[in-house]
Amino acid sequence: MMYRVIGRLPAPLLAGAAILLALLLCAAAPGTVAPYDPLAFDYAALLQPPGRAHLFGTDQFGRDILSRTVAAAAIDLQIAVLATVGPLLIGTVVGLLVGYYGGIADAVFGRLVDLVVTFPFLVLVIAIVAVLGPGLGNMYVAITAVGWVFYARLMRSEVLVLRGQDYVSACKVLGYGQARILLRHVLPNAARPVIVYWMTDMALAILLGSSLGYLGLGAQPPAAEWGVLIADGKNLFTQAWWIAVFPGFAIVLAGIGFSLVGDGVADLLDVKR
Amino acid sequence: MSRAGLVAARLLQIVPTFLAIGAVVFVLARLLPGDPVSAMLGDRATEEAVTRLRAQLGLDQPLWTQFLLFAGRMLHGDFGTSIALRVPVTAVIAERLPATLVLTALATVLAVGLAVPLAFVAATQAGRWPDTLIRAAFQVGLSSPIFYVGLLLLTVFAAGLRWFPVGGYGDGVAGHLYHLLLPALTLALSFSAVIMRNLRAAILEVLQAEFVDFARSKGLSRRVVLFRHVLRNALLSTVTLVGLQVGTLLGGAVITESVFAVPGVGRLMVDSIFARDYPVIQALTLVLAVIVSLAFLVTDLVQMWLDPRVAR
Amino acid sequence: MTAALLRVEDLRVGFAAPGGTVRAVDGVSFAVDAGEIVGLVGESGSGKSVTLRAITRLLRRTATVSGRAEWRGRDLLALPERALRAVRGREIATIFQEPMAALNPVLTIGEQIEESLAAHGGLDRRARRARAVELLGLVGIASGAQRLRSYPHEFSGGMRQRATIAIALAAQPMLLLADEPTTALDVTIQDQILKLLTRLSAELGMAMVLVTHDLGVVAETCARVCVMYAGRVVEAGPVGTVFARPRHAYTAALLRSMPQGGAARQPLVPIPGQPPRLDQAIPGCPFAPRCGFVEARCWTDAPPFSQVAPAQWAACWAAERVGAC
Repeated sequence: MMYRVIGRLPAPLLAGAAILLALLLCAAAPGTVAPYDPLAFDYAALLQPPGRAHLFGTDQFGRDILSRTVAAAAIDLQIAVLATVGPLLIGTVVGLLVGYYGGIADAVFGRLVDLVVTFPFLVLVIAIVAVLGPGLGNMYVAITAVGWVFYARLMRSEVLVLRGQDYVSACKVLGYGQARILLRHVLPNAARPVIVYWMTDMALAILLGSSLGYLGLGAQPPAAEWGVLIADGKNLFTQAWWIAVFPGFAIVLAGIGFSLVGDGVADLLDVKR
Repeated sequence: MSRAGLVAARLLQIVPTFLAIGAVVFVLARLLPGDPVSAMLGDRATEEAVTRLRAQLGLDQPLWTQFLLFAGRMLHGDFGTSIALRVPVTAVIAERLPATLVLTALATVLAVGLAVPLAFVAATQAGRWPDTLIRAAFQVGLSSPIFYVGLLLLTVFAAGLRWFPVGGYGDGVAGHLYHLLLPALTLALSFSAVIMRNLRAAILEVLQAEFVDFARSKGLSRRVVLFRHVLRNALLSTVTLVGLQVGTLLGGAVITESVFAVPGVGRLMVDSIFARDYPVIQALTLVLAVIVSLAFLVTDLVQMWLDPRVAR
Repeated sequence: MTAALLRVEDLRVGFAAPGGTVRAVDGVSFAVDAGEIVGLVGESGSGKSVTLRAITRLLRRTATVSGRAEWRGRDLLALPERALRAVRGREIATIFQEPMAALNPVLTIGEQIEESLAAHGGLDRRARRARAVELLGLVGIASGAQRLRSYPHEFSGGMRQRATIAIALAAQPMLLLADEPTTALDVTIQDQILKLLTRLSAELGMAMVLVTHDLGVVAETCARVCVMYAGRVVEAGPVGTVFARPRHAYTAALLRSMPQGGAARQPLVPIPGQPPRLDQAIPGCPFAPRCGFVEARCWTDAPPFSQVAPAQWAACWAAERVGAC
């Protein structure tokens, strides 16, 4: 039964899911995938190029790059979730309410959206991080403070379409409570494009999180995060390219994984983008 | 409404936008940790100097008066003095802004130049191998962080092959362009992926339009049908997209400039955060938002000019 | 009998679909003589529009087309792309149902007329402009010189269809393929456009194939009619004969389902059921499940398209009984 369901899913979705499951395994049990302790120095194997003993080579302290890349999956997947779940929840609630009730709140929200899109997203996030101070936690706060607007905008436009449809009017005629109409009838239908957007946004979050990590504004060393690892290797790039190149592969792979799953889910839920 | 009326209305909209941008930056500045005066004067300032600066900055006034004072100073281009560089913020930004503008403009040109032909091939070959290949390449492009692409290009073409300088801005127009070509290419690769995805979809949609069948039924050549009828309509949405993406592009410039050591405002922004140079951060946030809102304005005007249906 | 201008023979068009190939057009044959107006009539989905578009190969790449479309001795379906382009617009022009969709929204009417003229050569810029104004006058659009600078959205629905007709007439074609040219228009405008088309056909000696679902339109404009059902021509003949004495059960049912001016008032009888699915092979007559005259062999053997009266053909086993009604 299970096998049959999987067999019917589109191939890109399965490929994306496989990538994400592999990354999830790295994050949950790095020990089973990584051949070495990611933090162990090995002065007998400094700056080793990729080879049999060290598949991805070693850095200037003899740390195994494969193990470090695997270990970093935990933080980057954490970024994918924590940088998006706040915007998702806040944006869904706000979008649902302003879309359904309209009025002054909706008008104010419209102006807010116009305003927020005027600021370059990254610049605004960086400015907020500047206020709060660099670090993962503050990065989440900054991304959430700006990012929820985009979820709310999407949710609002969906709710506006649904609000005009017959079955919602029918619910009102039947005297259903507001909460019941919103939660049982509007939310499940309006949520589909939001969920698809969430998938692609997780890919963007990893790109954003690793960029901030690279700039020194996100995850702080010695925490293993792909962007931080690349920043570690950037000065040695000409002598030991592998230190920065392999963590970069991981980012690209994760991005493709989320995108494939996002496209697949969009097809399954029949969401047009 | 007439076309001129529409243009005037759109031009007027910029006023409240600027006010709102100022308000956001003002609020952001109020949220800054610590007292701006002690941040500016340092910890060893005398009591008297602190009081004088507070009065000078209007910090002893009520909040709304402070906002008006703030707005007034912004209108005069007075953003205070950089804490780290000890020169007027306006001078620093004026010095750094050209590099960023040239970088983003060059990146836009490269991105459009790359995306339009490839989107065209992908859409006209939809479902066949060239389409699959192009879409796969751009999927990788969309999933690659800018700093990583920059680092790869830097290593291969600057450090390795020595075709390009490793960083900096160079001298003269030719020198600037030469130094900015690799950073612009970095920025363009991710930008072109966005354009190509949008334009491919737009071309496919226009290909379904009946006016394409009608154009073919007139006996027009394939070239005329594709360029005059299909591409021209599809590019309308690309113009809007490029305008809407200016903010993303400036965000990308922040990262690219850091990778390539380009002395633009993006790198200035990152440096200022580590230097806790709040006046510069505040001014840059405002200036970049103003640039984006001006880009939106230009996009709308170009759209009105290109699409005869808008003015009605 | 003179040689026909256009002779379509055993035309078949299939579209690949998840459930199998959809046979949108399944062996259609008909001919058009010079200057003649032929109606192609049927319900939506009967394959009439697809037939029309297949003649000058305007269908999408997903369509597979076979058969012959003989145009003045040459098979259009086998013609190289370049030679076909010289026929399109120059010898055979097409107009569509929805003029707003058929006109490019970002080009002026003038540009769209002139590009047609330019494609078939012979005129310089100034002559093209003059000809464009003349064409607008021909289709009843006054002050053409100013109208050339207008965009499609600045025209009314009827004006837009007049403009597409002007574009189609630009290179003086010998045949106009008109795909439901009045369906999207207001009733009062419909009549004007039909009168314009018949007038132009007569004045210019231009033949026309008129695709429509409206029997009234056929009666008003056409000399001959082909009735289509499920991708086939089920009956063909002079309009007067076919409408007065239909020999195919479907034609008869179609006539009874529509109000007819002039004829004695009779109650309208809708045709029960739905047209058949075209993604599966149909044994026998495709109309059998909805037919009031159905016999046993209708379910198993396809009726041949045979002559039932002078100049009248029908593919119906019950042609005699239908004709006797």
